[in-house]
Amino acid sequence: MKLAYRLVLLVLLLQGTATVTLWTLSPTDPAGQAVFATLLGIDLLGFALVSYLYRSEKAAAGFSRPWVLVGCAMFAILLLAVLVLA
Amino acid sequence: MAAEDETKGPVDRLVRWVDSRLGLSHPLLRPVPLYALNPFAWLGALTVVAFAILAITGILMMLYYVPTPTQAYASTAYIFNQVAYGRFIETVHLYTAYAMVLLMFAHMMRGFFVSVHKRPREMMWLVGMLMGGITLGFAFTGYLLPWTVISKSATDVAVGMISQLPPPLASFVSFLVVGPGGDTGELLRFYDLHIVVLPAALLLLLVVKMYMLEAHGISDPATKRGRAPERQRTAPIFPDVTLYLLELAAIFGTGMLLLGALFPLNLPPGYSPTTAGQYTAQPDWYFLWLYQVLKISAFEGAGLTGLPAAVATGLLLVSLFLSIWFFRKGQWPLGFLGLAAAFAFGASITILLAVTLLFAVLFLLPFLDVDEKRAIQHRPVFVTTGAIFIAELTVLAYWGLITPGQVIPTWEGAAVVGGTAAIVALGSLVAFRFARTRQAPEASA
Repeated sequence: MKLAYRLVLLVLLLQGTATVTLWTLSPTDPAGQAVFATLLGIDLLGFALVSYLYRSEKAAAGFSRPWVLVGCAMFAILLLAVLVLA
Repeated sequence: MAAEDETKGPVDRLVRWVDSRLGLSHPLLRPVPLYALNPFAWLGALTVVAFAILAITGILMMLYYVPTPTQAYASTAYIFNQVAYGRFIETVHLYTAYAMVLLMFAHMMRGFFVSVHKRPREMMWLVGMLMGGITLGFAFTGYLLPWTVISKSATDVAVGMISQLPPPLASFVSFLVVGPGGDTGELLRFYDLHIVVLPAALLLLLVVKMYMLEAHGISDPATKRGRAPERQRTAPIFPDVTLYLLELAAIFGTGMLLLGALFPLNLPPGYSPTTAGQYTAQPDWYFLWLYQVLKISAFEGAGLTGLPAAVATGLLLVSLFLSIWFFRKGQWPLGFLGLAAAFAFGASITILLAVTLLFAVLFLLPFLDVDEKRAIQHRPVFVTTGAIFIAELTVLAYWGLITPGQVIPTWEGAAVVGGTAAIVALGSLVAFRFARTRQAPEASA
């Protein structure tokens, strides 16, 4: 399978997990709200990455690895934030 | 057609289905040149995205907020502590409002430096300036609404400053934002302006600006490299440009959410005359520069008066004239010196005049910077003026932050404002000289 498709599957998995976790949080607890914001950020960033991969594949030029690495680094920061805030 | 569809992937087929039903790729919006697909060209669009986030979070807060002096703070605290995700919504609303002010400023200054205001886009620039004013109006009116001791005290200072304006303008602005109804009337006016009048005005101007954008298209790049043939190709508005913009919006939204999660808002105490006495009133960061300007000129006096003021005004005009003359003759060092001198003379008459002069230049830019040349290296006067503008705002804001409530002697203000202008002009001179010496061998080669 192409690397872009594998990345999309990984991102979708992460987005799915984030979305499911959203529903387990307490909506009035400050820590719960902070984790909610971070998980929502993961969903948004996932959308941006999938959209970028789609555009790149469509243009047949392929995606830029540095940009995808930046995206992965942002995911890592968000996941770290979830761990710290939880 | 059906055979062609079968060869496409499921995402492509979905996109084509949506497009065929909604007509998104119908040529209503013109394609976008590839050189414009960079984040800096979309700062204005991101400002609109920030406005959309503010509208959504604002509408959610409107469901619980009560705009009366006795209920405003209590209802804000209720949203904060009792409403599901209320603290999150308030935090994101505040940070996105800050981001909208920053994005608006960045969008304006980028346009200034890359000459988007030149023919035929003069009116777009003026409409954009009005939209910038409305954005600051949003920040001003929204700040009071939580009715905290900080927001009410700072607004009281700002309302007090309105009386320093020329009489007819002071009466009009005072009627618009304060009225005869005391605190109750003032809060209601701020609320109405914030949720009805300003959004409606902004949306109207946005439609006008978008119409003009479609008529004129995105401005050409200021450099030859940007106008290279391979960069003149275009991308369709749907799906390419739409997805690109959504990606930027998603990344921006992620940043706001992460900021909100890591630095959640803490609600300051509610306003009462007793608690107000314990705080030094100070506006939020985006108005600190104005606060500092008025602390110098309005509270301490109007700088030079009488004959010295007339002499300084004369010197200002002579310096400005000489500066332009020297620049036209290619005598850049003397031109920069004249520009700095004009600014210093302006500052000695009144700081407010000097800053007003800068804003006047900014607003009337399309009618002052009329030369066909658009590249930065060919516009030393305006590029230097823009750099002075940014430096003055930054210095005044920081100065205002570290001197809360202090009255600044006028001579000190003139020294700092004039000194900042002189330092930036000198730096600009060195940079332009350096750029010219580097270009000269390339040209001879």
